[in-house]
Amino acid sequence: MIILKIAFRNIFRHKKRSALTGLMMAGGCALFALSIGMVDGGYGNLIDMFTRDHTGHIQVHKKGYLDKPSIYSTIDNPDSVGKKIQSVAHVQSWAPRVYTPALAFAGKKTTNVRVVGIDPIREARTTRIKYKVDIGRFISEAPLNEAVISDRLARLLKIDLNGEIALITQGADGSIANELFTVVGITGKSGETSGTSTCYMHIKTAQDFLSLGGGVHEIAVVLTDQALTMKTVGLIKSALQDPSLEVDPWQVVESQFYRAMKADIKGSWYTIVIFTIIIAVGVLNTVLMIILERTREFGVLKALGTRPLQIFMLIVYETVFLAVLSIIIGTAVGMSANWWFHEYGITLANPIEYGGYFFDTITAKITLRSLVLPAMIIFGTALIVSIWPAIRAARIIPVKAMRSN
Amino acid sequence: MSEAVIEIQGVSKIYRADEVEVHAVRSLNLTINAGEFTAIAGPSGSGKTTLLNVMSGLDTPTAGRVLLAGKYISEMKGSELSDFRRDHIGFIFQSYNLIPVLTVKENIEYIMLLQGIGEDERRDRVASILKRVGLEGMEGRLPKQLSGGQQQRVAVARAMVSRPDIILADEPTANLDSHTGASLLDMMRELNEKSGMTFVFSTHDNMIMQRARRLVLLKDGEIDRDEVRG
Repeated sequence: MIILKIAFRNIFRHKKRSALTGLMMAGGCALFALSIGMVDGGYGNLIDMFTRDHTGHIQVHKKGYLDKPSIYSTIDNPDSVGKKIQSVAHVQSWAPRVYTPALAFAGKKTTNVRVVGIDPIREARTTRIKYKVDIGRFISEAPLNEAVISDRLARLLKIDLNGEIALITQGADGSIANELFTVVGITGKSGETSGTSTCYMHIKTAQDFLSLGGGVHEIAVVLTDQALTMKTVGLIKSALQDPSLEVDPWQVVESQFYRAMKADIKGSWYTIVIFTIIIAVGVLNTVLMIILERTREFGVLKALGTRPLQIFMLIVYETVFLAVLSIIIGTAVGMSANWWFHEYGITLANPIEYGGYFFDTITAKITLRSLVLPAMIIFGTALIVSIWPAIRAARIIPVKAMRSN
Repeated sequence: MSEAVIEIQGVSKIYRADEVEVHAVRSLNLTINAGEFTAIAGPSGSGKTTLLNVMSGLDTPTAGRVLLAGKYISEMKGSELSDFRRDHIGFIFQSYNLIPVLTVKENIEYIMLLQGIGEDERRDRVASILKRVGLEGMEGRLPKQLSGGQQQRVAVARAMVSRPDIILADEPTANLDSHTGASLLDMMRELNEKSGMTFVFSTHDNMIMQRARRLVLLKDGEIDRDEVRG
């Protein structure tokens, strides 16, 4: 107990030095917390953006469709599959989709387009596509020849609301499918759709247009919690019991984005390692200075009968106390900054594209990881760094130490 | 005849620096008995401090042995030596060497805390020793708030309060003015008379030599004179 008391009071003995060392550890802790919060928040937002905007957390396809999309690879009983999916725990909703590439005409303009057939009722429950419509309205619940097009497609075809768009593609029966559609809505300039030429229509209209019958190419599933994705993939597979179907998490569906995200997170860890080394060197320098300055004092303590282990613990306690104080301050500052960035974020003047998705606000996320991990890193670093100087102090020979100034 | 507290048996201490050998203490034999108030005196370089360091186990002899409280302290190491010093030897240093972050009371208690003595007994012993060294009412002060003489009184109290077999003082008055030094010595002698505790101190100060009941004079690492006074 007396060793603890001496260690604690020694922190306040050289206030400026302790403050500087503490500031370094507290600053590091705050930076780590903010860095983790921003990474989690940034990617959390991105993941939420594309999963909630379009992809969903899980997708079900006919086997092989994801690697080689084909108009013929359809799920022929989507309602039955959907019901089974809905019965699985953590599933919030599901939405069937039909896809095909097509050639779009409007006036004298022509361009490639991706046709997406959606169930307007289910889609509105599952993703935010409905709320991306900035001009006009979403497609009707009844299957009509209506289309909602992306802003990019509208610009390419120079078409406005209520304009007509002609689509030509190949039907599943081998026929040439061509039809006129009225533009009832245009999706916004920001978000996933702004970079692509997409044309949404009612799923029944798309199925008739492509002679698909009742088949769909994809069932997108949204969960109550993104973190449960991997677990739920297994549950859905078990519920479906259909080897002709593939159940993939968003990490597989958006594998390019996921790999880029992983690489980016790995890069941020290198930054944390470099910061940790800088902090470790700073703390080591301080502890070594303590040993040098107080050599005589340690000699006296040993002469009085203090055991080498108690001297060792004295140094470790001093470093740990300073680290704990720094962690409390650093965590408070870091989490406050995380809270601020979570609430207000950083608005970017120009939206950034990442993995094909655009985002204009960077926000932080307050997680247990951002609270605990920085504290553990700082505490562990301080503890490890104090060991060698503490051994040196414990090995001091009293008679030599007491001769030093 | 009094019981021997410490026996120095043929102790030599040689320091080696580069090619030069310095014989600080040469084949020295000395017995200190319980209750003695002994001064080890001699000119600078005569081996006083070295002898005290060897007696306390702070330094190891090149040859010979030191028997303290029935054990050869010169053969102990590590925690065993630390514990032995804690339980059997009280130190008074020339530069007081109080723990700067502890109050007077805590400094006095320090060794008792290491020994695991209970709070009630610690409190009684501290109160008693503070009265004896004349520092009542100062228990809450830090060393930097005390004069040199007061700090050395705290050091005496710290050395005595754990009731060691012997108190070793290395030039305890060297940093004090003559009046304060004399006052401290008188106090130590009074404590020696009342408690029967054994005191050994090194000095080259005539005032201390005059107050000692036994004077051991060293010259070139050997005992030149050993006289017991009345």
